[in-house]
Amino acid sequence: MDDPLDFIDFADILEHGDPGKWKFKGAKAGSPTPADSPNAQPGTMKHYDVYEDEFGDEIEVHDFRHPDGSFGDVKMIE
Amino acid sequence: MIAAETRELLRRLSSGRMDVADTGALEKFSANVLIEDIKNFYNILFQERQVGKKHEVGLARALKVEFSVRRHPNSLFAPIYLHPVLSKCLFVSSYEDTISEITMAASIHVLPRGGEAKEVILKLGRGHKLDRTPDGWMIKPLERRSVTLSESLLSKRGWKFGALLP
Repeated sequence: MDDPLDFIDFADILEHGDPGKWKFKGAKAGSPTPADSPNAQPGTMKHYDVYEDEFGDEIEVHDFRHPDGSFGDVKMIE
Repeated sequence: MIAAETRELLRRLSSGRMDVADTGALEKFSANVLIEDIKNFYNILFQERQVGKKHEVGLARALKVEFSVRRHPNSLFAPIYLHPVLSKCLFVSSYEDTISEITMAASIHVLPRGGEAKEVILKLGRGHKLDRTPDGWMIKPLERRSVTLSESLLSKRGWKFGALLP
């Protein structure tokens, strides 16, 4: 299984530092949940995880995990 | 063929004034075609990486050089150092040829941190990030920040250090 933090956009690294130094604070309540978009592959799950970035700010990482183990649309949300 | 439309999109993104209608073009563009088009006027490719189904590029329109003076405590001589500054930068990410984000930044200053750790300080200038989310396209201003990153992280992320040479 890949690490969703490997997929963080570089612009987000420039604002929030090295994802390898972010502190995992846990999954959000209700995560993971089945992806309900009409275009989602069956079996795709949406994960919402909370982290603390290098500057002490709380951020969220949202990602789609497909049944084959691949990731789609990993997003960091402030 | 899409050059004019792409230019207008980037102009609006740089000003931070975009609305939903502006993002309509992004829905119909192939990410690969858009990136090839953008490379015609952002011709310094300083970052590129493929990870899983994600493709990322970092481009700049110009490379400038600034100098700094660092005094050493036990010397009257103050050496001068040159530092690259990537000007008018653009990051584009896509998953399976669908655009996922476009970020514009006025500049990225690149400074070695010094010491044994092989780290680099990256100072991000003002800019905006346009993100495709399940709720639609969202635009946000970038915070002007400095981050210290290891050379190994930058290499892993596809940074092309040769592109930083004048």
